[in-house]
Amino acid sequence: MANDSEQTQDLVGSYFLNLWRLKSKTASKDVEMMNSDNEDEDMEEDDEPVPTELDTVNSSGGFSIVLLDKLSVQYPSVSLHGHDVGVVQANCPAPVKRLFYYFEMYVRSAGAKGTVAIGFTTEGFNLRRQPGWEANSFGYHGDDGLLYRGQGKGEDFGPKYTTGDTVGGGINYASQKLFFTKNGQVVGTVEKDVKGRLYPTIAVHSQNEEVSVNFGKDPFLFDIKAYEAAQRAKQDTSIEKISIPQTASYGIVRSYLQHYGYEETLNVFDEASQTSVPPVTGFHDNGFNEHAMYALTHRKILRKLIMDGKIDDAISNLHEWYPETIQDDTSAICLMLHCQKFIELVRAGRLEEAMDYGKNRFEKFYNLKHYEDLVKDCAALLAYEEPNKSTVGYLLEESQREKVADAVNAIILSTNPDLKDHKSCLHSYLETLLRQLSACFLQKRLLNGNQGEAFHLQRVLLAKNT
Amino acid sequence: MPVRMVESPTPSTSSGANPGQTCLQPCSLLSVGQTFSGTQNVSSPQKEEAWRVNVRIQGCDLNHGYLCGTMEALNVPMADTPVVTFWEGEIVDTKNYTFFTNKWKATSEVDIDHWTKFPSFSPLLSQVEVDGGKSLDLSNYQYIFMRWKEQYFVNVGSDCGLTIAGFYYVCFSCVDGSINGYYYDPNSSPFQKLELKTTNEGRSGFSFSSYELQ
Repeated sequence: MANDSEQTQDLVGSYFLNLWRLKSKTASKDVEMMNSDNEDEDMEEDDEPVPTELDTVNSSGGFSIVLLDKLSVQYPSVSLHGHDVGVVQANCPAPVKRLFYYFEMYVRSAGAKGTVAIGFTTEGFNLRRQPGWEANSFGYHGDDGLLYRGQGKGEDFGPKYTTGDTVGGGINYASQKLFFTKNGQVVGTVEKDVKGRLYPTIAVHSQNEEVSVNFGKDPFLFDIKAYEAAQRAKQDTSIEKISIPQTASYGIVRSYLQHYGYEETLNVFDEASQTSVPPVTGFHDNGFNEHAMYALTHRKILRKLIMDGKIDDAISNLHEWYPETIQDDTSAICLMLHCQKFIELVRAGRLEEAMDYGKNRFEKFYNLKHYEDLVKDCAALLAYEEPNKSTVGYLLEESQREKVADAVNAIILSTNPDLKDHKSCLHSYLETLLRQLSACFLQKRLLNGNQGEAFHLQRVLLAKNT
Repeated sequence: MPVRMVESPTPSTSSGANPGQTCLQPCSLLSVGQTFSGTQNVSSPQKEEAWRVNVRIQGCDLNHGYLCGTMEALNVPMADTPVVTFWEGEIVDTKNYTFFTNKWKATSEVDIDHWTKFPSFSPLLSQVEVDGGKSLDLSNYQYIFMRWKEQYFVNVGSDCGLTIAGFYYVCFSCVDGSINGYYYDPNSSPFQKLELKTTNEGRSGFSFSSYELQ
């Protein structure tokens, strides 16, 4: 066997075509939802069901009355047998794909004995026993302030609580601990040594006891934002403790500029780092030289031409400087360039020319069966009076030009005879780092029983600004 | 053990014109289960590269000049795992097959170019140029010449970035079991050299292999 050289070249091209197709799919969804640039950042968290009310299907059968709003519970009778507790769970377990989960309970009336409780239980819990009295459950009880976690005997935990008090229960997925609050103050934490999904749970056990629960519809008494900030700050400090060479970020930024051909910015950057006090040196040859200055000026020129929509000039330059990249007329990169030319003609309103151009060129690309849909998207531009408002309007945005510029950049990088790893044409080190970071986060979460949050760049960047 | 289905007789098969010809002596090192390992040099004008290669003989039928086995390439940059292919071999015994390939885009010029790269071929060159070696008696020759053609990928898809469109010219030394070969494919770098030596794998006795052909 041998290396399939045809495939190598188009590895680069097909990567960018796939990026385009991804945009094409999300673009049509965006137009439908009329959302402005809705990243799927929070979609993962929204996808998980969250508790919204109490579960009325499973109940202790006669020992709890859930009121009509499904957010309050009363104890109906007098009997106080240990197996006659009125326990109610939320309508679904706590979501796990986030940093933590929290809910609160307000004691409307402590009734005869104040034996109310807040806690977490698993599915199939015996709803006639206080949370914490059976295995795989936790309960912070109001009458004695003890924490019960699986045995009849409780541990010293926090203060007692009664009528008028608000208590809260939370799960911190990062630290794998449960925490409870009373009237806005954390009273204690405990290891979450139970695997599997936990249901927020409340309980009443004596005459006239009544509690109501808040799953987030109303603001919490506990300052949940401050708690979140504190947790993230804790994570941040442990990150800050790790030292990296001061010049590491310079090297990464520099390699980004080199990779994408921003020659002028690179020169300014280099000047600045030399004239700063103290001058920043020593990051030039850190193994970042994979592409270094290869074809930097050409790449800069081509990027500018493409971003200005001057596709013909770009193609003729490529022909002169790197003919092998566009030799194959049916390659992915040729597809992108010709489609972009077509798009530019439409943008300029030269529709007849666009049609002729399309008729001539697009035929060839029907061989690339995989990418037929992208060619169709381009052709569809002619169908609309106001194409920029249609589902294929994304083609007229600058981001499409950028994709072509990035693809041309990568294909030139792939002609570098010193190239060791073909895949390195596709991303700058910065992007590779981010991809690795996201992958590590997800793997860490997986090892954490698939609980916890994923890495969201936007969130980290926005948080730094506040 | 799979056996090569005999299709229509190829022109290179001599049809009993030389009754004195016998087929090759079985060589103990060219037998089912024998493994070889070494390298294939895949350098191109752009860069130097060599893969580690392991070969295992899976089937051998000297009467029909047929051989088959698997080839495993390690540290291939494009692939995440070692790439395994299944190949079938033609043994140039001048009875079933001659030195002229007559297929796979290999002209007789290409054949001569490749065979002459094996030093053990030089005594045979003049006769081969005349008639492809039809009249040679190789039954006592200490080298066995073969062509190995990979038929399919075993553990990866055909979009793994590798091609098996070509084939190998192979020279096997009966004395020490070493194998030299050259890969030929008009669309790939020419003369990629395969160099293998026998390995023992610490076994004794016979070993059989079994697999499904799909």
